[in-house]
Amino acid sequence: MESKVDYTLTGLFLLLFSSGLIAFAFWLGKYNDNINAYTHYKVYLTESVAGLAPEAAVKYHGVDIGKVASIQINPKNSEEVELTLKVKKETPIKTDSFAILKFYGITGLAYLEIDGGSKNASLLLSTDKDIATIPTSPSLIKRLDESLSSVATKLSTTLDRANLFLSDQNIHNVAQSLEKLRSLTEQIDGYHTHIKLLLSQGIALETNASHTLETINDTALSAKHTSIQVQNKLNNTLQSLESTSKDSHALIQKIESTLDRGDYNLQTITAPTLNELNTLIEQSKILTQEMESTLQTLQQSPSDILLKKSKPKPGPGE
Amino acid sequence: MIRIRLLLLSFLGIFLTGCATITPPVTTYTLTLPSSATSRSLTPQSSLILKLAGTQAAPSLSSKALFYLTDQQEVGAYLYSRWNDAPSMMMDRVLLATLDDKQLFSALAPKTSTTNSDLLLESTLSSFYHRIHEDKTSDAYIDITYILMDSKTRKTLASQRFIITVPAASRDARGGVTAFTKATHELSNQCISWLTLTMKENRWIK
Repeated sequence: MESKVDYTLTGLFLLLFSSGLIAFAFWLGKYNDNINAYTHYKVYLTESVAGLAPEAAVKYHGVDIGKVASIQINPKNSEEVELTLKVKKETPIKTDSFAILKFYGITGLAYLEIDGGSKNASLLLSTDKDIATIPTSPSLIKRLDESLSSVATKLSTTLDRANLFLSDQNIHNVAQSLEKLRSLTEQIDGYHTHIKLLLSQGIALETNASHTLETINDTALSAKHTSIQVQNKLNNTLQSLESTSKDSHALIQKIESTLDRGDYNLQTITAPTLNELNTLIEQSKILTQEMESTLQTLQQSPSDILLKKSKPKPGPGE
Repeated sequence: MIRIRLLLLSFLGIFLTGCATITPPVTTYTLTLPSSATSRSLTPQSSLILKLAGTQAAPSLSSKALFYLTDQQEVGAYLYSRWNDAPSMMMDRVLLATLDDKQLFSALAPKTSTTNSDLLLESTLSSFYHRIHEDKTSDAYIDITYILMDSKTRKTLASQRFIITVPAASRDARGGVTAFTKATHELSNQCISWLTLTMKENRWIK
């Protein structure tokens, strides 16, 4: 029995299928990618990149512009994750652009969003030798995480303080205060009558005070009148004093000029007299000495005053 | 009445007896001023005014008696010789004249002057005796201390004691007076030398 299979068609199908398979393999191996059509950038993240895998999308304002080429821990800083991005060359990455880690819905898969990039900012230039770094911004989850951590810390502190505020001792003190307040209120109720009496007395006092104030007002008016009179008299007195002061000033000036002239200089006035007195004293001293000598002679020989009997001792050569 | 007359006559007789005693006349001496220098400068060497405060002397030296002093410390006065003035006053006059001759100061004021002075010169006379020695010699002996002070602050600037001895030609009062004249002149010269030195030390004169 002869087979009806067309070997030509089978061979042709096999050739086409093999060619297609090879082309699919090349497509799958990305041999069609033009390496020169991409620019590489570096991004350093300090948060977890779970959900982000190599070949994950890189978007610019939601538009696919490239892929994540590689992910590794920064060899120079173990706290950072180093991402190498492969971005289409025509993409205008600016110097004020920044990268944010974002997630697709609830799937947990992540991608990298390039945001920012104002119109007037210059382009961020990157070459194969000197790969530029795109700054990063914390992702929504990180910001939520930080905010929640901060809120939790503050909440914890508030709870601690509330716990301290509502301690047994404080509750006991508040209870005591309320008890005392109640007791005080009861006492105030007891004083209600007295307060009424006080108020009535206060009204009477106010009336008296008004009357007294009127009296004081009258007295003040009288005092004001008296003050005006005293002021007038004082003005007159001050005028008299001023006049007297001027006269005194003139008198003092006269006295000063007289003193300056030396009219009342006691030293000058008394100097001639003192000099004469000094001379007189010296003469008196000499006379005293002479008298003493004479008296001594008379004491030794009283009869000398009449008879001059004694003969004084002469000096050498006499 | 007759008795009263006789009594009065008796008293008169007694008085006349006393008056009958005849004594030699008393000679009075003075210390002459030194002769003025012929080359006397007309411009004073300083602009200061000096006042002589006068010489203070012991009471015994304040009289006009001319005293002698023996080696036995016996002090006596010549009976018939006296000074014209107290020795301290005569010494002041001699010093004033000598200072005026030297022109050390712009003005000299005696102690009776009322002018304000810059300097004051005080002196104390301790001895002024004609010393009579046993070896038949005699000399004039003066011991005096001068004190120079600031008139305004009364602060003592310098003081100096001078002892001058000048031999006398004779052992009587006349010889003593001649020696005293020389001694006083010598004292004035020594005092001026001391004043000049003091003024140079204080840079008041060059």
